[in-house]
Amino acid sequence: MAADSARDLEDEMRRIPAIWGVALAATIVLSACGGSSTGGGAGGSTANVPDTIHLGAALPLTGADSTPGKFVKDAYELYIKQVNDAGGLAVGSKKVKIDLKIEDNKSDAATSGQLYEKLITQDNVDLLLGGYNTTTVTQEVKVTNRYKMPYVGGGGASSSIYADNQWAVGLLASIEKLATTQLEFIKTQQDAGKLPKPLKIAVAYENSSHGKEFSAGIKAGETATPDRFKIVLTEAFDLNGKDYTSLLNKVKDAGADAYMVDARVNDYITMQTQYKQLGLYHKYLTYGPRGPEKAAREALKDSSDYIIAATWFDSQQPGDNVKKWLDTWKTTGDSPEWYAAGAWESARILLAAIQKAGTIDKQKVRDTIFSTTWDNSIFPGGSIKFDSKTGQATNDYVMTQNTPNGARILIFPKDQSTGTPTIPFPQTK
Amino acid sequence: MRVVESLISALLVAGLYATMSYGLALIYGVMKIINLANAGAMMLGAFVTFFLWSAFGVDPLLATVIVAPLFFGLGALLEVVFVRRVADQKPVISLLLLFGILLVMQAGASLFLGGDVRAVRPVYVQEVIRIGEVTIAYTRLFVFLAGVVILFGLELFLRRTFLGRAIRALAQNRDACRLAGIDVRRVSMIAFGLGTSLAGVAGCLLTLVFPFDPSNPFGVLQLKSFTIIVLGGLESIPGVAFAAFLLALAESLTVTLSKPQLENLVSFILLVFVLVVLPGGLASLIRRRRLT
Amino acid sequence: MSRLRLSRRTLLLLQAGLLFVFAAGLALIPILDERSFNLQRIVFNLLWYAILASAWNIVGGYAGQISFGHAAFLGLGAYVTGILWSQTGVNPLLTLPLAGLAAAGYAVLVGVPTLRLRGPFFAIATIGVGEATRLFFVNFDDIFGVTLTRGVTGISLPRFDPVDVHYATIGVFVIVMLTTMYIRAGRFGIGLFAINMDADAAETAGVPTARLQVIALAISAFFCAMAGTLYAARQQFLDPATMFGFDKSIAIVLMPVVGGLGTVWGPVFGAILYSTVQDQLSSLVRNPYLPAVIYGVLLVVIVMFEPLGVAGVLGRGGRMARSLIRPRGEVS
Repeated sequence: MAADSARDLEDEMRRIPAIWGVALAATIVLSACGGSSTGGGAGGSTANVPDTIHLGAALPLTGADSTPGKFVKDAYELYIKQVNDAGGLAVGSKKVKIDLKIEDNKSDAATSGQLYEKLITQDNVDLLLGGYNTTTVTQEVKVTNRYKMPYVGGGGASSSIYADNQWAVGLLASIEKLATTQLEFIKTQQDAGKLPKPLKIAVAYENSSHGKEFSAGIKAGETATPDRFKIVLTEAFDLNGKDYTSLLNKVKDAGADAYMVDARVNDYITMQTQYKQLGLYHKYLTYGPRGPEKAAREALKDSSDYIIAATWFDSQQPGDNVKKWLDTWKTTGDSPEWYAAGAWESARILLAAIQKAGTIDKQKVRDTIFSTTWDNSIFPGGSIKFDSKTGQATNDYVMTQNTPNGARILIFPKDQSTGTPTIPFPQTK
Repeated sequence: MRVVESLISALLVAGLYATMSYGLALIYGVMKIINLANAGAMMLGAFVTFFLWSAFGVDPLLATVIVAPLFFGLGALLEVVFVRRVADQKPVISLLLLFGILLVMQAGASLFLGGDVRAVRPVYVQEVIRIGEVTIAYTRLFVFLAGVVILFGLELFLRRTFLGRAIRALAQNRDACRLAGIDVRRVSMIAFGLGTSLAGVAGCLLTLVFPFDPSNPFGVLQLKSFTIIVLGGLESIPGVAFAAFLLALAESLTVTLSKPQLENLVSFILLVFVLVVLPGGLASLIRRRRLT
Repeated sequence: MSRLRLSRRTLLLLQAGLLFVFAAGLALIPILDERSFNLQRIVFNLLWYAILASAWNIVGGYAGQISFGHAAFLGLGAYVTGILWSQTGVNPLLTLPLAGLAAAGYAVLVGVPTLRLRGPFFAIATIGVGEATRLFFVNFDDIFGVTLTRGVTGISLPRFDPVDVHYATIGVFVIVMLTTMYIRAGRFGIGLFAINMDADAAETAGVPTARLQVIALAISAFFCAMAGTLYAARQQFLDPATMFGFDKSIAIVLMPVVGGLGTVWGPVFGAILYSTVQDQLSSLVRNPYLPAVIYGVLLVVIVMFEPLGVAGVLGRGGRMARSLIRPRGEVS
């Protein structure tokens, strides 16, 4: 064996120059194919509108976020197909085709940063559509700012993403606002005498920036109005947990009126199953933005009844825009989850901004995106406006409550509601 | 009181932990190979269960009867086609080979089945037993009982049957077995098949408790099963059962007495700690107990 | 054995010379065209992966101790830089040696107990080390009651000139390659290979196996951490799931295995292949899961048929070509 290794070593040493040649050749070929498009990207802004506008996005098509990733992809493609089928986007006097290049970032932030950089520097896309997942979007926003590229996304809600940002906009209002919205709703129920004052709250959140901001939002509510809210327990838990009984027993001991959780879909399913098995009861129960997802309702059946959620979009919202979108979305055969709606709106706003600016000049498109109030939105409130400093939308959330037989109603804000909330939750058995 | 509940909760989780680790220990014992594809077999087992349940309404517990022989065949096939060829080489080689097989299994499952979260929901999912203040769900109790049945079944098999004795003998001394006329290749194939079959059954049981997709929660569970077999002394089936309980207890107590977010950290620190301080596992503390 | 034989020394010098020419060529890119963003990006990706793969190869390929936890060192380096940079405003490239030393120290701490483990147990221990390190950084602030790593939210960093990072990356790459060449050719390398072949026999023969392995791991960690620093300086954002992720550890293993385990240039081939597939080819495949299936199949095929990976295939090709030119009898 030892002699073998010595021979191998000698052998390898001898063929190294040959290997080197191959390596160099490979690198040069690589460089050449990359180098051909050198010099594009950040510069080269022309006021002239090309025949085809190139857009780019890197999405989590595989890995942990592949389910929402697919929704986002379908929504982008559907919107652009609609525009192209109608002859293209009217910019000035010209009709231009839209081309979208989508890459797979494997649900990894580092890969996504690399791919957005590639879309900008190698594929020379004109403008960017956004990705999905807080950390991934944070990395993407860094890249778009470095290359000064407009970026419109509906897949990242943490306000930490938009610190120190000038070029990206996000359609999702912050998670803190998600928590605050729920507290606002609770206030109306307190005033109606349906929930006690102060409301004793147990908070559990997934250990992610999403969860942290949710918890911070509730904490802020307690500080502002201590006569209404009293947090009796705050716990963070790991993603993809398996056994929540010990945590739930702590929650039980805390004797709270309300249990407010922030979790992902599969953790929500696991925890709620065990919550019911342990026979826990609260007057008010929420999993943050989770609750009415099709997968969860099918997995949990009546165990998910009455759960309250606050989301950025719900297909039951009133209004013609939403109805029209639902008709269009039907062709995909998928359920109309909020990620699809967010992506659809991102594509709509980006193209509308090009149209309004009459150019693909990056600075002008960016300024248009930031300064315009985007009407005809399917998001709650019917219009979207981005904060001029951070670029994050400040839209209202819409709150839903699951009802028996897999249905749900909208309960907040008042002008959107489609039914009377059942609060406090009925006690089973 | 909560500590007692933690103890019971740990006992219930241990059933799953142990089942998913038996196969790993068995294969290591006979072949001195760490089966990195264990998580893949578990995942496929969960998907087969899901399919049987959603298409024919087969209960996950009943599905084990179908999954066990099916995965025995899969494991035996893997052994004959791949593992056998590298069994005599450095451990690194088999590690990388089985890792490649795991990649193919996981990515292949995603390729054909998509990355969506699935869940099985038998009719008795809400049923519970109450003993004083302690509540035990049927699903978790069944998983625990299955773990116990498998433990005793395996022990009986290893001690009372000729094949079982051959497996134990192989774990002790491969060369001596060859000299004694035991068909080492055949016994290795059976051991690998049995190990894979156990992983598949663990997948069945898992569907009773967790929702899953092609990569979750199998990755985390695989890492935990390493902790368990190392803690259990690598080759001892009762050692694995006991280690599974200890790990579950450590996790459960972390959540109850400290911060829930530290739960997984505990199991990985425990893994490194045990490897370094007690490379022989717990058994080496009490007495040397192997498959033999 | 009538063919011309170059001495080891000449071969080494030849390789080093070629390396310098190559590096100088890459260094010229931003000077020749300051808008060559794409080329700079490609070079960064390629060298970054090559640094990680070659660093891993020192302990995984040479000494044969497979680590599934090298993301721990990558992430540690990135975080040392990230924390120092965000807290004190120091030039991140100046933290390169500090990040490296921190990781090397951590490697010694982890390596002394775990490298005693034989067979597959070191590999399993590194999985534990990698995950424990990630979770430690996730919970760092909560455990110590400070605000340094910002937990899962991650560290957001200021902008830094990518051209400086370009030069630094080339520099680190050259140092890594010189180091691996030197180790491969020298006594240290022979010791590591002896451990790889048979640790007990090496020990009996007087090779200080424990010490050599720990040193190899420390060197390996040192360079991985430098890659972490380069990443922080260029990408401006760090979070534990990305920097310490198990998928990073896996990528670090895959590249040298595919390229050629234990060879000097194999890891570089692996890095070229990996970064090219990730960068250029993934958008061409209709189903995004296909590349992962192909990686898996490739891994199985390589392990079973060509343990020296791409380098091995190239070597065979070379031998075959030579045997074609030469009359049969002369081939040794």
